[in-house]
Amino acid sequence: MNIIKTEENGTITFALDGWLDTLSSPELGAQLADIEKAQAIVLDFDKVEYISSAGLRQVVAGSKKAQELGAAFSVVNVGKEVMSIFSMTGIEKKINITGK
Amino acid sequence: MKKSIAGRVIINVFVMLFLIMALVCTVTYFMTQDSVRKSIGDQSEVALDMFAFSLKQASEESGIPMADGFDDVFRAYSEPVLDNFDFDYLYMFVPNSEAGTIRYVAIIGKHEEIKEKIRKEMGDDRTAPYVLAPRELELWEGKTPLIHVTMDNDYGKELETMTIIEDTFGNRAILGIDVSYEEAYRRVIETFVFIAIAILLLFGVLLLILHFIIRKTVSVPAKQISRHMTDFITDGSRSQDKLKVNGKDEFAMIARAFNKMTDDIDRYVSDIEQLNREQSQRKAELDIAAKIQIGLLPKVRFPGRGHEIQALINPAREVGGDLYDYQRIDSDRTLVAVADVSGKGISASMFVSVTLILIRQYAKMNLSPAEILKMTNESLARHNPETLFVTAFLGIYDSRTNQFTYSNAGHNLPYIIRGEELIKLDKASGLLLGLFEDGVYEQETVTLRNGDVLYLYTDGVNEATNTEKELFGYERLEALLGTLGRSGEKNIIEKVRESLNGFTAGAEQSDDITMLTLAVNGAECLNLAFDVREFPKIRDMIFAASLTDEDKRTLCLAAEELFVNICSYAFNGNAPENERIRFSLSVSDKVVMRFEDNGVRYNPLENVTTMDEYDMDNSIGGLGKLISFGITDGADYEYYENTNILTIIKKINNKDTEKGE
Repeated sequence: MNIIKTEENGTITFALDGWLDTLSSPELGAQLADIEKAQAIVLDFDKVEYISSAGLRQVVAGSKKAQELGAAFSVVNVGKEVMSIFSMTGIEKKINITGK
Repeated sequence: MKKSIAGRVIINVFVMLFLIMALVCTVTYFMTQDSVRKSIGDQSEVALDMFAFSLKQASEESGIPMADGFDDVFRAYSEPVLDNFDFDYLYMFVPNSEAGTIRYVAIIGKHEEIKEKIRKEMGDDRTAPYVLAPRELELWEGKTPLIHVTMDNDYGKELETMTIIEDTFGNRAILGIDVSYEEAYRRVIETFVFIAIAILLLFGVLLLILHFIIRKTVSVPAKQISRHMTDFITDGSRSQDKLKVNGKDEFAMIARAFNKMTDDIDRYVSDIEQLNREQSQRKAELDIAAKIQIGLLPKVRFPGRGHEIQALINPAREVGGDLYDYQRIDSDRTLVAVADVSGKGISASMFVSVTLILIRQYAKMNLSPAEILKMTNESLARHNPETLFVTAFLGIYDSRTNQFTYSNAGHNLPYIIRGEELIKLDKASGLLLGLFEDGVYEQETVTLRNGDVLYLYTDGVNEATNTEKELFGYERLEALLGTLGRSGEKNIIEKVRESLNGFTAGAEQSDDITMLTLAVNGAECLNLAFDVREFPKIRDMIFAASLTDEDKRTLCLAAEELFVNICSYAFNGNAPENERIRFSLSVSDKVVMRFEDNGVRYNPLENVTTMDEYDMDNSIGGLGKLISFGITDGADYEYYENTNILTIIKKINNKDTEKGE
């Protein structure tokens, strides 16, 4: 799992690459936890082809973190397969998620 | 109201009597006509003789000839006599054959209207035109002393009796008397009618009396009996009073018979109730026995490592003499067996249970199939007073080597269904179990291939009999298995059973039917520590399979969620060093993933929330299995010999589209 973090005008973007599974997602969790201040948090799923419940939890944790900071939270460029997991679990309805 | 027997009998008898009386009256009337006429004639003759005699006397004494002027004498003499005699006319006349007339010397009529009629007809000269009839002429000429003539003329229906009278003066005349026989007939009829009515009345009274007698002796007892019978039948009150038996007549006999019958029925009913109780008790006991027997057997479906076992047992009676069994000897080896005790029913079921337990116990001692059979045989033969025997086929499948080692004790030869090929396991056949303690058994090893199905059965299959007493037979069985193998049918047992049902439709099942299949699905196997870091091994195995990338990712997701779950709950996160999670994957027309662990018993299929109910904020833990079951097509949980066995099935749509990683 590669995570590239960029920050621009208070918007923090995590461009993820690889599988967001049990083993890799703690890394994302750690990075999200490290954020101290932001106006918006964006997870770019362009290169994510797999997400497990551990990954979902990090996404949910990210959205809660954003809420704490008063920042907007969104997941973008979500592929079809991963999107189906988001919609199956109902997370799609709770978080601002957009597909490719 | 319904008419009683007595009433009907009486009415019928009365009507018949009436008809008979009417008939008798009619017949008698016609039969007595002649005799009535004759009796009138006789009376007339007597009267006539008396008149003739007294008139002659009167003529002599008074000196008045029987000619004109005799009238008064005639009247004076005849009327007193005639008072006692019922007649219409009494007359005396002299015929004048030349003139064709008759002249009346004297004539009297009994009744006023007749007297008037006579006066008118005769006029003053006492002469009336009349030609003598031939018989009257005969009388006049002296050829016969007396004639009777039946008349039916203006004067009515009458019998005329005539004779010749002569006085001492030489006067000769015809003296005649007319009597109406109509009147006489009427009297006769009246008499008959009177008698008939009298008889009918008399009979009426007699019949009424009879009616009361019949009622008392027939109707009342009959009603009583009938009421008794109706009560007996309708309310079924068995303990009611007995019928009273009076006298020795037919009703007494019926009453006695009825009382005996009710006694008998009471006894039969209580006997039947007793029998029913006993039978339902026996039935209940048999049902329990059947449940115990079935309970001894493992489940009919078991997903083993690298193979799947299915079984069916269908006893002909409540309890049967067949068994199937399978059990894991260790993590790789599984024993399968079928056996059939001679006979069926309770004795066979007891014997088969003993056999099952023996096989199981010896199997646990890590013996080979031949040894298990030898030991089982020895134990059975030692305690077998009824000399029952068992045929058995027993084998051990090793999922690591795919080898199947079997031994046969006089049992039907099983088959390996290998696609189009049907292989009969005809080696290592030995003596049946239970008869000779020193039985020795051989064993044979075959190597199974992925896709092979081992088919074990008892003779209930090949000896299934249809209504024409035909056997299903090996030929049909082999043809059927061949067809099923060719078509790659997975559910062999179900198909064979359908075929048997079709064949035997309408016939009673003659023997227990048992089948067991072991289908080799060629699963690869991993032994993993209870550590999520082991998951990449599973992922690598899935990615090595020939599946689409999408299917691989789906399977990975399902496997990951379950694996993570097992790691956390199996030993509450503190798994002993040597404990392993065994994962296997088999790919055919579907993908079967299987997890085994010896952790705490936990069925993940229970309490799965639906997506709609799922509360993301509060119950993070259940999400994994929710996803896992959501994206796959079937799951099965089994707790078997301290092992949690979880099987996940995923259908694959396009197996051929392979995209390597």
